[in-house]
Amino acid sequence: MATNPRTKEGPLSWWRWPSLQALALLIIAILGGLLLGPSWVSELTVVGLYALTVIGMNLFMGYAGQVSLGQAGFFGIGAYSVGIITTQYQFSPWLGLLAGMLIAGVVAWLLGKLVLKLQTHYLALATLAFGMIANVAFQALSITGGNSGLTGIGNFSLGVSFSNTDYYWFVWILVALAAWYATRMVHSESGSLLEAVRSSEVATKLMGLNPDQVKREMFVVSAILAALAGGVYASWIGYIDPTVFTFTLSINLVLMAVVGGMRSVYGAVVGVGVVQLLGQGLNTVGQMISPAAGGALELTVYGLILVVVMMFWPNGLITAWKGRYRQSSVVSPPSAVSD
Amino acid sequence: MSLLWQFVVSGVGTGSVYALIAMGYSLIYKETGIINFAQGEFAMIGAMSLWMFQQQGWPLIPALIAAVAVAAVVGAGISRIVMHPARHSAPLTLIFITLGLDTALRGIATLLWGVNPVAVNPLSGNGSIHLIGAVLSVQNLWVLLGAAVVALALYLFLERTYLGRGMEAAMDNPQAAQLFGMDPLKFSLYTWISAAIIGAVGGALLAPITTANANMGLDLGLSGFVGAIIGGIDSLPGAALGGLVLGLVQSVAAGYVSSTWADGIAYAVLFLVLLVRPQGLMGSHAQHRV
Repeated sequence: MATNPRTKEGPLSWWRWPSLQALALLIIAILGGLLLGPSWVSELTVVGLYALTVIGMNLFMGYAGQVSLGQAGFFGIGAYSVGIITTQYQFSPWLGLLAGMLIAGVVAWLLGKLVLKLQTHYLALATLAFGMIANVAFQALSITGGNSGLTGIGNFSLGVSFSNTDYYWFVWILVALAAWYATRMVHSESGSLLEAVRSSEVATKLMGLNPDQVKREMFVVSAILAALAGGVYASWIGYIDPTVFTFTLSINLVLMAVVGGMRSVYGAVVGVGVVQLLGQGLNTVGQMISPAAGGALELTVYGLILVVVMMFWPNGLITAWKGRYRQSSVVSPPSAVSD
Repeated sequence: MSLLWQFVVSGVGTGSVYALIAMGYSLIYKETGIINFAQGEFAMIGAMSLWMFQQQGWPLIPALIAAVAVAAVVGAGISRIVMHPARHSAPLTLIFITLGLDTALRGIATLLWGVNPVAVNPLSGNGSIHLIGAVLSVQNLWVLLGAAVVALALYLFLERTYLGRGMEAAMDNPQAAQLFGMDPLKFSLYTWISAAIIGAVGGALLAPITTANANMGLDLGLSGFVGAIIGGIDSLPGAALGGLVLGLVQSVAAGYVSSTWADGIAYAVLFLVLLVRPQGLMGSHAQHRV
């Protein structure tokens, strides 16, 4: 494996400017919101919420080369913060959203301090343990409503209370902002450092740079984005219970990141869209067979996709597609792409 | 005090099933360097297949053997079609692949057998015995006996047979084993089949106590994995010990605190072990930090 980090390839061509890309995404989202019917708007709100989470995981997994199997825990922290603050204390959901992001960030920072120096599979296990403990806490605490969860979670409002379509705008503005931030991050100095950490931690250390710190930063960012998405989700859907924030959700998030390409910010958005729409389709087909078969068919196909994509395109579909394009048109070190 | 003794006795029952699953993890990890997140599904396949054959009216012993055989075939298929071709992938990629296998197996099982829990007949009736004040169901005795027999059989296979010695050699030094003409595909196949058999026996023995369903593999697998890490995943006896310890901790925690918190406590123990002694209680390799 190449030990020299692939540094910035000179100035970016204009269509790769982060602000332009984010703006393009926003325009597509606005067009979608104006042209599509209400059921599509709800569907795409979910896609946006997952995309927000997956963009964060993308930074941590694709660029820092680590995996979190407990991201549902952070998503849940955000959701329960909004839920608790609006149902138990009657405060504004905005406060809950901020509190959730703050708590998730602090928890991720502390967790990162403890576990990020562990090897890949031990780290995966430690994040898995975190997700499980968080889920047990959601079930067992009284403030979270135990197994029955929380209902009647407050709507966001800016003067007037958010409608379903307002949530759609809000979510996709957040996605565009997150994508903008992530793209800038990837092309910045820290991005080059991330790239270096991914290709060789030893080399990074030899150069006197601290891989743990940049990994921790990405972990914190991914946790904050997950909590943000979770908080908006709770307020949008109005009720939450522990069965939402499970290991299965963590795995689905990993799947979305993997399908889209772990090293492509916009690939993350595409991956979420593809997986989510495919899931809906499979569910519909499965339910024609029997009520239980919908979920089972979805599970089976999700699992097989994960296996096949990882066997043949371990960097994800979008990254593989981009890599092929790059190899055929521009001369660049092939090892950096095919590794 | 007698209450604690009761919790300990029941904990050893579940703990020995965890021990079997943990040994499956350890075996695959030692032989191929892979953490097999799908290990718990072998237990599910064992349990659900046993139920399926019992439904067909098969007598106990053939049903049990057939159930274990189903898991062995699945294990062989996974090894041949997926894991062996993908063996040179990065650790992260391999984690994703086994997670995908776990998800797919759960989905297929739900398609075949539905989501509802099913009652599996115990091996020899519903009786129970008294053990110095604690009550122990006869099925629990079968679990203990089965776990002990399987562990012993695995030990004898690895230590006393030519094939087993070869597998152990391949664990210690894959390159050298290959130079001596040992076929890595064959070893991968044997490893996965052994792991599948161990897991399936555990699941089939546990099923009459807990009932079985298509989703049971995830929790069992995670518990077995936690056990393996606590005990030391690169040591078979260590992994077995870790599984037992986990069963005890869960049982005592469920008895004294609450069954909801019991899982949380198990993961808290895991967390502590990862921080203090990542190689596990009996693992030999100091953690390799780059």
